[in-house]
Amino acid sequence: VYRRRIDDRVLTFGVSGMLLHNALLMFDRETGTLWSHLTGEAMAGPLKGRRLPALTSIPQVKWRVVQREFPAALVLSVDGAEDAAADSYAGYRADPQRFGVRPPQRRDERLPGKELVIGARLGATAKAYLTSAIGPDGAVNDTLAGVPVVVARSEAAGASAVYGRELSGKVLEFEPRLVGGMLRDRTTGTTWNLLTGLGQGGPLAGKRLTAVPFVNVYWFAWADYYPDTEIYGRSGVSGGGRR
Amino acid sequence: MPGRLGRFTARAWRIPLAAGLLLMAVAADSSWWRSHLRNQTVAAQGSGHLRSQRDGVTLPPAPPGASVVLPADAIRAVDRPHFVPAARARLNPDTPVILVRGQEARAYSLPLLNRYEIVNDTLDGEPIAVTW
Repeated sequence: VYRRRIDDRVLTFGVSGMLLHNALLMFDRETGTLWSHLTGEAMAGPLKGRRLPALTSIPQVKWRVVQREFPAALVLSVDGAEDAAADSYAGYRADPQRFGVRPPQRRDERLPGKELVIGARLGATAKAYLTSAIGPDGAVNDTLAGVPVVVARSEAAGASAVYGRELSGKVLEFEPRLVGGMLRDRTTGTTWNLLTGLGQGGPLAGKRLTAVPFVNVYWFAWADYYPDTEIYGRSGVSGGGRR
Repeated sequence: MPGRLGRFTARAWRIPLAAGLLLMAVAADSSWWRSHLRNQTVAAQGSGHLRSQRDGVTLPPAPPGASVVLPADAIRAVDRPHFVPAARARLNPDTPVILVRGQEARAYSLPLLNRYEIVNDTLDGEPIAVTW
């Protein structure tokens, strides 16, 4: 999710029909620039090199969780439908040997292509967090481009999150397991809402963690965009390691 | 930009090219994409330039490493999104959604976004693009 204002100009995006590293290229109707929807970067055209500011969102969270936590939410409706039944990608997801529409020209063999990762980027540092290393209901404390972050996911809720974990000069250490679907830091004992980053119980209730934009993505696609990406969680080892 | 002659010549292979693109995409995932081809055509203008038939904007050639798999605008982005309150939304409880929060929370069904890929929206007065 991106802001679509560049230099006071509002852009309207369409689907270009082009894929770059198997991710959608959008175009804007105002300038004809092509933009990567995975990175927000302009890849060709008049605005090439510019980047759309990313907005934090929670991808793939189950409706039942959103409905419970945000009963006043508004839901997109197109032609009278809020949902679509057919999941035409099911076969694709299940097949470990299918890598997008066009298989990547270079394969980064550090991980299996269809390994699911949480990809986050701060400054020039990109890092892939193995969902298998975080666990179905867990959190990991890490440092991304020098910024202490916590990366968490709840498989039951379908939700992932990345937050900065430094608050008022204090670095919080989080418990490796979610407690009732909530994050908990053992530094202060505060529990934090996974979806909003809001402190909900304990000394820091009412404070909010700063959200870091991220994507849920297959390894092959992430590595194609960020060949220098670091990996968290490979063989239980934290941190980077280049090819 | 190609000259007049180039553009004329381009027209001659426009149909085979379009057919080729169709075939590639159908091969990629026929069930997914059959539904997208409503009244859409592709226009090739020499050297890989693509033009959206919808509003005439000309796109640059595919950047290095990119490939053309569909005509521009063959998948129709949502430009004027409509929303319903959660209480009236007909969504399967297990359907994954993208959750975006401003002063209010918004949910976008991913199976629905598979059909449109992009929603040009406004959140707290700020234009945003929800993409999938």
